[in-house]
Amino acid sequence: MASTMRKEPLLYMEEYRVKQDPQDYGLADDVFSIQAYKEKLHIKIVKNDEDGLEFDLIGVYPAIANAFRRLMLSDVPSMAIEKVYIYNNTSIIQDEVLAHRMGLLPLRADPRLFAYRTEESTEAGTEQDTLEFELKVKCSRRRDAGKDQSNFDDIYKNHKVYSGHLKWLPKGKQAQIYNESAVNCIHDDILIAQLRPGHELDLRLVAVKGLGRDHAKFSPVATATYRLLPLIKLNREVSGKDAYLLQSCFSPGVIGIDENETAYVKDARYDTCSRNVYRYPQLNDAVTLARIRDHYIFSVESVGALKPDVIFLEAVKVLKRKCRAFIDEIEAE
Amino acid sequence: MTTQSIAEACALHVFCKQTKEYLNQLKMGALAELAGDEKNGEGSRTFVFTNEGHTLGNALKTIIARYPEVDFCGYTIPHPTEQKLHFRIQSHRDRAIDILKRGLEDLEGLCDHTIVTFEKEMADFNAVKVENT
Repeated sequence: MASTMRKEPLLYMEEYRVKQDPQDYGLADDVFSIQAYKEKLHIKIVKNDEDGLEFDLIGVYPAIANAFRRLMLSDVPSMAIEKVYIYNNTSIIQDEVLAHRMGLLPLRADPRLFAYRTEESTEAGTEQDTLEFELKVKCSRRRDAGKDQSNFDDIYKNHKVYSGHLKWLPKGKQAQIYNESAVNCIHDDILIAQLRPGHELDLRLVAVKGLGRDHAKFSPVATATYRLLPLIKLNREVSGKDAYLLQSCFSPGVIGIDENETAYVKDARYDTCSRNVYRYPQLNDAVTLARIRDHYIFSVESVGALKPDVIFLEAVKVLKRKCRAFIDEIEAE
Repeated sequence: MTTQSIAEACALHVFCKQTKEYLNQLKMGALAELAGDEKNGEGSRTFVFTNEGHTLGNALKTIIARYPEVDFCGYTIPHPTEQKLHFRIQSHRDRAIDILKRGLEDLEGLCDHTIVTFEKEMADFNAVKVENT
């Protein structure tokens, strides 16, 4: 493992303060060079499943880690409904509230296959930069419903409008390129509105490509966060009753207890780093709590259009493209 | 006052209008230079990035501030509702514009290396996952 081979820069978490390692000057007078960065950087993928991606980014400056996080949140594009044409809305939900709800629906369309709308774009948009949907739902009373029935599902038809009711209207040649399951709503069970007999929704929805910094609905991630890897050291043996008390001070699975009823650090990674242990005088001196200053644990949860690993790569590419654009501009001068 | 100095005194000197329009299309920033450093030599400049924020500013600052020939490097966003980033570089040796360019190139190289490393690790991770199933 990479982390055991190097001297880890630590940040100590004492009872009332956070203390830097007295030997550690890394952040202050480190000279930047790309070679040094290449030697220091390690990436380790920990988990990548439906729940999201977890990976370790080791040996980077806080500003770089934070830039990647910010880029994932607000500079990686995605498609979202931007315009809602309301032809009829007789439900009790107001037009503007309804339009806002439509905007927040996550779409499956891959934003890399679409272009941004420009100033010159027409209102209707083109097949390269626009997706169109319609939502036509009318609520009615079921004829076969008996008078003694009280369940709305039995009495009314279409009384709940779900995101699955959205119908894709292919523009131009879109129908030949994509199929509906590649562009429509990721979830078809999002409740949009509730209707009663006689209520009707007739909407046309226009989805465009946008950035999270314009509106959160364009953000491709549900969450993108990082934290520093915790490190817990036991300074002396803790056994018996105190061992169980020590175990209860940390997150489940962090402290283990062996057959001699002695506590040991099993896995500090998923500790929440609460300083509960300092509340007990008999445990106060037994542990050293620290975090590794340049070991970032990233967790990225995608909304669903792009895979989390793709989102991270796209984010880094965005930063690269920004740099390239400015370099070109300087050179052009 | 000559026309030359009036032009220099203009608060914003836009380098290249065409590039700016092109960048706006790509939802990216554009670069200009703040006046007031005419007497301070080429080493001191405040650059104005439009449509950029803390994401680029702080990342670039941490890199440029760590060059030995740079005396001072810092950035500010003068007003939160204005999409403008003021980026200050002071150096006694090199031209500020060259340092900025070098910083951007280093940041680009850093991105490249991160992409390569991440892709490699992801491929390894997926290979192990396939083996185990």
